[in-house]
Amino acid sequence: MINHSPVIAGTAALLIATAAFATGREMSVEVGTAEIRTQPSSFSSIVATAKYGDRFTVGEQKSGYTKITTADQKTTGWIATSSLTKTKIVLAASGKNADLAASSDEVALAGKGFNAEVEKQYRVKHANIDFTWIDKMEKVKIPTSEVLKFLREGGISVSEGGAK
Amino acid sequence: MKRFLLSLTALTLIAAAGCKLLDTVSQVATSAAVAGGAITPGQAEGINKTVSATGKALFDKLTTENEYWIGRSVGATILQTYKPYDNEAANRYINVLGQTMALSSDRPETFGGYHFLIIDTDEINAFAAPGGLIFVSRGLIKCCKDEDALASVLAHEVAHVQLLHGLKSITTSRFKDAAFTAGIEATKALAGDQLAQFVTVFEGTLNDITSKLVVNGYSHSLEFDADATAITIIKRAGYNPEGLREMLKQMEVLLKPGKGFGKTHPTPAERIKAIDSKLKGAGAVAKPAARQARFLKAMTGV
Repeated sequence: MINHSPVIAGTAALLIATAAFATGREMSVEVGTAEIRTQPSSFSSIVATAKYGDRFTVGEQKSGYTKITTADQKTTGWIATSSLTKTKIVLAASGKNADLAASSDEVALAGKGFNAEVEKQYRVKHANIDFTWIDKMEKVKIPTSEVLKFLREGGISVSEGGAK
Repeated sequence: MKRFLLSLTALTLIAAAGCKLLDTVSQVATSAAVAGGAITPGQAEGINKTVSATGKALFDKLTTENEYWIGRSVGATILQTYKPYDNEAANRYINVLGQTMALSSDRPETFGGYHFLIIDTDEINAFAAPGGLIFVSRGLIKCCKDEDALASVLAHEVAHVQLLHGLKSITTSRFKDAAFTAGIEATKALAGDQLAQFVTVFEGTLNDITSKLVVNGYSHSLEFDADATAITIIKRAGYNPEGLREMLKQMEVLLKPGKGFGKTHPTPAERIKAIDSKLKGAGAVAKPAARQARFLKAMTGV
């Protein structure tokens, strides 16, 4: 499922393992949100926003970006290759999917390992450690459009698709 | 559950005695974890094999979500020592410039995204927590006479995130801890004693990273790698990488030995020497009026 508006990441687990590229195969988004862009460039226009676990058919790879197509064939575009993994992401920690995730290196279970619950317990033990500014930091979001405006105003020319 | 805890306690006591014992205790601990339902028998076998071999396989099992949660606590720990510089305009400016560098890197997105904060100290320092929380001191910003120089500082920190230098600071012995492996592999939510043990492992992991970031520093080779990657990032963004050399020259003047970068980084002269060949043909840094004006406006008072 992709969203055409910014998506706030919830809990997810996506393998850091290097995204293995394979034309015609499927890959999953392994970051909270991944922009689907018109060109293989971080400065190109955004056509949609994918979220963790979203799975796409992947095509060619260029300049650190991988071409993707949604299952319904309605959306195509480019996602940063570093935001993709060949591992299938299982979001629900129950049932057959969880069992499959437990037994296969090709399937990962979201929320494994260090997670929100571990931080919660850590904060109980260390009440003196203040997360206020960490939460404040995370609220600052800089859209690509603002970066492009910033570059233009600074006299820096970045053509769409030519940044990487 | 108690059996699991006892096994882990035994592991702690015996760990220093040698790998063979470690393997034995790991097998006991994983057996208990299987009995408790946290992991499957297949996983237990995998863990025991992994403990016997190397921590690399388990490092590879760390997820971007794990990296995110580690980074948050590393950041909060850093802010115990270094007070935030509470200036919205200045912090917004470094976030826009920092995001520009992040988008120009080979890792433009992380699980929680890149976020930047100025820390209120004259000490020349910066920290990149895993996942993209980046802290830059007022002292380091004072080494920057223009936006290109500041871009080089932020690109260097983004490079540390891209290259996973923070996560790679986790000691190998941590991966050999049965509580670590059981926690990483667990397919059901940990609770009770198992969760408590895993939180202890989390504390150790944070300590590995923060002590590397704040006290010991990365190896010089990793810092040189970060500089080389930063140059690529700066060029992609359209800035002049000569800004890195200019910033380092200024740092050489202002740096106090034994403090901040003076303790944790190669000397500015060593860094300049290492990047020299990569800067050929870069030319002098241009300072378009609008770019310089916004830099000075945002950094006034910093």
